[in-house]
Amino acid sequence: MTLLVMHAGPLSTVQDLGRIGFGSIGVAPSGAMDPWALRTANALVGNDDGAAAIEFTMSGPTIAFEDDAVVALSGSRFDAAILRSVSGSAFERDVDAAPAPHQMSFRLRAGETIRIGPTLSGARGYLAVRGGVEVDEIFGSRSTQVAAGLGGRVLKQGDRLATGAGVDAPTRRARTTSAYKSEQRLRAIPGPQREIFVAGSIERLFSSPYKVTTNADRTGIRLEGAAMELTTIPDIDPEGVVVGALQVPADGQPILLCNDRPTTGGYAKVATVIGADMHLAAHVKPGDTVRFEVSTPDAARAAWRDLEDSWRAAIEDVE
Amino acid sequence: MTGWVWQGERGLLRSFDGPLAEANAVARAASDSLRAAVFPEVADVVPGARTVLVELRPGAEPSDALVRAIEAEPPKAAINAGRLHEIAVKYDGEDVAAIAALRRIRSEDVIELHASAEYTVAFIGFQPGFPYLIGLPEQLVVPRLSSPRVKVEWGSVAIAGEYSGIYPSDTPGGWRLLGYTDTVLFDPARTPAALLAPGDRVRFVRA
Repeated sequence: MTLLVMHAGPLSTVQDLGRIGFGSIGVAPSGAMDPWALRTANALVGNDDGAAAIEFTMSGPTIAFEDDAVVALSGSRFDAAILRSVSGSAFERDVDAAPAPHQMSFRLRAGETIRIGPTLSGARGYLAVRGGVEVDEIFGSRSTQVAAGLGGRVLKQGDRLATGAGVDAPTRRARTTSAYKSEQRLRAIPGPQREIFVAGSIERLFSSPYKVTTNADRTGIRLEGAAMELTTIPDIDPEGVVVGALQVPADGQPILLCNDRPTTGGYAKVATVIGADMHLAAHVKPGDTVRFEVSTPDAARAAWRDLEDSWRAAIEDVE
Repeated sequence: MTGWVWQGERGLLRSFDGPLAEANAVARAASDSLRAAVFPEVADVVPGARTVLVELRPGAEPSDALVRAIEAEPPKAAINAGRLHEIAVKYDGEDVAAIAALRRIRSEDVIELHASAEYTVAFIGFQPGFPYLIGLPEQLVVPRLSSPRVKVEWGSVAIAGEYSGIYPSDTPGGWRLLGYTDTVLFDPARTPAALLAPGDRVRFVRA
């Protein structure tokens, strides 16, 4: 089966659940910024949770299907339509558009097109296709590391993407609430470089709103708000960093490190957003507000287990 | 020092004191032994300049055995004995003159100093295959550029602080450029993908 990219959108990439275990050679995990939305989209079309799908950002791609397919949209809600051309006309005004379902699998016939326009909610959405998107695996993953140009695919107009076979999927929907809020609450564990911050400065992170700047991508999200004061220069001997780390350069403004982050960092880190809340950060847009709340390793693990338990329960077959 | 700290709920970060070369040797040894031990809850082990970061799988708790291994006295030497790589460099980088001016030496001395030292790969970080090399002569220690370049070409041999490095791919970068090599540092189709491993030694040869 083949998908044809008619229009790519600002940043549409192939992502799965990422490549784990290659930090010591400088390879970031990459993978879906909202892994739960990716899993949901895959479950809706009957794929394995970790199959590769398309992640799009702020505005989506337009993709023509050359074969019958079962697909699903998840993540933030975008303005999406199914286009059926009228008697083979190439003119847009001659196509019959129907809104594409969200969080529910649906069938496309050969020759139909899905057009995903601007977001109606948060920054990222996902399109899964029954059979999964098939690009070459690099280190066991089809994810795209955008900054290093490693693996996966950044969609471009005219690209053809292969998918696995299969149209034998039941219709399913997901009863999940939106992960997007224009005022997002993110739980974070303070440290590890507390000593580099002036006393009271770390409390400021947890008591003030921070605005999402336009400098926000899969590598990191720059925030702007009450500056943290440093006791010294923020440079530390470079050390391994986890996704979710809030590193603070000399200007005192935190940067939230995301899936394509460098594997090591030489700036002090004030706190780390817990794993269970990173999928919420995946949907914030420039101009949105985030507030941080203190968490602990135990609470963070419990939150992750809750997510594990709840996401699959939200998926049901539709008659 | 046997302490470690949490980095989020998934990172256990242990640091080592002392001069950089010694602390790094211990960090590499600790990293090698933690990686070799294979704990099921561990997703990755990442050595840094003077740290080792143990990254847990999502939702996983560290076992007592893992915590004991992280707190244990690291072995005296890293498993990797250190292969020697000779890397040919054309020393015509854009920042040679600026480095010379900063350190009040001649451009020729900058090149001579850089090419005469033997380096150790302290760790790989930043980008796939990017080596942080220690052993830089003290006369070449200069700060990073105050504003990074939007694009540094792959193969650029550069210095910043106590480190020398080589950019494996085109990327924005703030290190000062000494020259270029056409040695391919990272190729995912190759085994191993990264040419250099922590503990390897590097000599730069004038091309």
